[in-house]
Amino acid sequence: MSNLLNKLGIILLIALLANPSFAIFSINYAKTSLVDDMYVLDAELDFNLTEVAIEAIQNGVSLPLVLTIVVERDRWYLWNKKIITIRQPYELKYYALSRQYGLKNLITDSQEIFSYLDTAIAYLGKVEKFPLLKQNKITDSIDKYWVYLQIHLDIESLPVPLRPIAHLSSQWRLSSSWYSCHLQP
Amino acid sequence: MSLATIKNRLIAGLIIGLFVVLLVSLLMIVSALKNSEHFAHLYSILLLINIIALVTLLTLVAFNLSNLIRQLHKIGARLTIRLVSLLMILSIIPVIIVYYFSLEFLHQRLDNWFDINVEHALTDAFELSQTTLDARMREANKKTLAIAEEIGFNYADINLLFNELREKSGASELTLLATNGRIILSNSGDIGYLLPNRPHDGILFQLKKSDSYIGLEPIAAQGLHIRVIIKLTQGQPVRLLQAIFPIPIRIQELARNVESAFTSYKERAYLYKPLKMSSTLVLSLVLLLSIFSTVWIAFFAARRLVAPLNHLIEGTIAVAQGNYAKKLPITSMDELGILVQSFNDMTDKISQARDEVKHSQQLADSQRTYLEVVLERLSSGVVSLDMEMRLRTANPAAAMIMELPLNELLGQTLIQLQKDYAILRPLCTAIYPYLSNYVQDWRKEITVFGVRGRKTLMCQGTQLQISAGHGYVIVFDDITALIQAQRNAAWSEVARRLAHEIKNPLTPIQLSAERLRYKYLNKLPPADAKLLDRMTHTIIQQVSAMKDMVNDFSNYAKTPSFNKKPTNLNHLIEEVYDLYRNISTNISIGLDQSVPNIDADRGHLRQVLHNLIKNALEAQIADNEINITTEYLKKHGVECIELRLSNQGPPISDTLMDKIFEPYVTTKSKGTGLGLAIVKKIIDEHNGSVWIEQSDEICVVIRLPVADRTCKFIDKQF
Repeated sequence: MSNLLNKLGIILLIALLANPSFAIFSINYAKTSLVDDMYVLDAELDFNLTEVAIEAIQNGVSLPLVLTIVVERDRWYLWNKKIITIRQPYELKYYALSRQYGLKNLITDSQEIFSYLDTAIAYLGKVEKFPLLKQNKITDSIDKYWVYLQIHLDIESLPVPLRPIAHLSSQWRLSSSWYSCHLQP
Repeated sequence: MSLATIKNRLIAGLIIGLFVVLLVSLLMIVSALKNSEHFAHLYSILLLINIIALVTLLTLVAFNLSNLIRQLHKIGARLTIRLVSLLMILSIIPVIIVYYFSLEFLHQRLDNWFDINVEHALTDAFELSQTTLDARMREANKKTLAIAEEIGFNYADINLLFNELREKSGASELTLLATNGRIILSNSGDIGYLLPNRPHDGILFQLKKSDSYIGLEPIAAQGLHIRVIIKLTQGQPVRLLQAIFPIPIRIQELARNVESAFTSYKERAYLYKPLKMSSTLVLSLVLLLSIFSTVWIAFFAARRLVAPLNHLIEGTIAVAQGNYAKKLPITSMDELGILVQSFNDMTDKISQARDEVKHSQQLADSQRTYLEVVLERLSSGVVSLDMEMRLRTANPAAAMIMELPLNELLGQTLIQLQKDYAILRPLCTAIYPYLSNYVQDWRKEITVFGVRGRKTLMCQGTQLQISAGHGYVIVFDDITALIQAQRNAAWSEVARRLAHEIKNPLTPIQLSAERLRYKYLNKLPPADAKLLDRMTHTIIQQVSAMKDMVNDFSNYAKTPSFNKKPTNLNHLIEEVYDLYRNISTNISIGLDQSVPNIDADRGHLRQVLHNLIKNALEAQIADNEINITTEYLKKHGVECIELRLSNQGPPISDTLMDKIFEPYVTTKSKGTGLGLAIVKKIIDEHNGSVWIEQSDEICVVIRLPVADRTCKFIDKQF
């Protein structure tokens, strides 16, 4: 509920300010495959972090990034039916003492350590064998299923004082466009 | 409780509820700014809610303001503006002062977070930690490289050397891995951990691009360690040698503390400006919400406060316009409520008083109407005058008596009126002394001359105490007919008795004289006989004359029998005129042919004409000329026939003029004095009037009413 409210708040705030999202992230390609009885996603994401974001990381601010994947089924009589929505949050953090960057999967709570920020970002950009849904969830022709994905910086997970500025500044509104591809076996 | 009261209370409750929600949301924002886990995720939505609330309040205030400006001409608008301004000044100024000092205090507090000494100490401690750990990492790298050199490309015998190499280097774990991360060989100093610590995919990812990796990593349940991985490229296939070196627990703790403090300080330093801005934003939001809430509450309160006053003003205007039924709603029981209650009581009492006054007025009106009716029907004339002798009221009888349209003359003074109307002169002359001397009650008999001749009025005056000052009411009765009747009655009685008393001895006197004549006329000598004859003849003649006179008296005393018929006066005059056509005296007639018929006894009227002509003929004047005219009078408010008979008779004295129509009044030596008395009597019997006008000639004026009508006024009002 609070998430919904937050989203609504953000949408309203953005609409209020009438400032379009700054699409500095991009998705180069994405495709799915069937491994055993599970559809998995391989994708290549491109992050161009702004100076402001890099400065924030280096000053100890954790950068929350969220990969959103939606699988939908076409319906000729109504709008598409949402089969599954996956929200995968990551946290990019700098450890000053060891001069390393940590990339944490907030779902599994596992963390990867990188000596360089570019390496960490490149690692995040390689999505390999990301499990989407089981084969038995596909009840109709596979052609009718679409996968939509998007990666964005989750402003609402930034430190509280930073949020108003982040909402107002295009430097902080980091998001990719929605990328779509057919669900393929 | 009325529906309006419930609605008002509900609205008030809703508003208070909304303000409480707003206040709580502000508190939550403040709490979120303190990094509270409870509300941090709601920060944006709370901020948005408050901004929406602010915009709503701004709209409400603008709406109220525009309403107020639009209704500036209405009652209570100025008072509302004053109250709103006062409340705004009273609340906004302290709030702005508090805002300013709070902001200053907040910024100062935030500035105080950053002490240059603390910053230096932290940086130094951090660098010290970093240097220490770097030294350890370099040492670990060096040792790992040494192991790698010892291993070389001979992976076959490595199994035997692994434990020794590990112990020699001081590593807690030594592992040989394939490039994909698969563990080939592992040796650990800690027997408790069976599974070797495999490098993460991220490290393997990095090693694809570089030959070594060295990192300080926290290992699950083992604390901070130095991981060194060297790519063994001398042999085939390429292998990875991983050595994990432990860091003493104490150093770990210290390093963690230093890192935590340094990171926190750095983050805080980085967030200083956003925090300052956010705090200012929240404080400004609080200020603006407070100000606009206050302004809106000021409008609300002013409206509520002014509403009963507006009602009072409207009520007062309604009362001023005569609407005493206006009731004001009592919305509260405070002082204003008491005021409204008092107003309602006052209007009640005024309404009652008005009803009483109305009732009294109706009573007075009915009494007045009653009096007016009585006055209208009264045969006595009643007029009222103010102290300036201005005519205030006059009843129809007064108009009849005075022969004037008095109702049209109201408001004029008697002094003015007497100049225009001669009939009023004797009245004014008679009553003026009483009015000017403020005589309380007076009574006087007055004689006036109107178109119908002399009138004797009995006037009675009484001073009045009226609201506009003093005044007089004058009541007068026309007693002319009464006096005349009294006189006539007296004369009739005298005549009847006189006739009776005189007639009785006359017959014996006449008989005696005749007897004397008969008995002694032949017996006396001729001389004496002649004397006797002459004397008895005189006696008999005089007695006969006396008898005639006594008969005339008797006739006068008798009530005549009248046989009235529609008669044309002109014809009658012509008939009588024919009888006198051959006499020496010149008689001329001028008759108005338009005269209508009159109701009259022809015989009696003929006698009137005879008497008058005879009187005129008897005037011992040379060149006597009699002139008879008739005229149909339809002016000055009268409608009647006027007959004028004039001749050059000897002048009549004023004393005689007053009594000329009374019996036994004559200017002639041989007259009985009954001619004019009979004329007067007959004319009276015909509802006419007769008088004598004297100028160069003597003129008898007779006015007779037209048939079926008495001598009447054209104007029906009087």
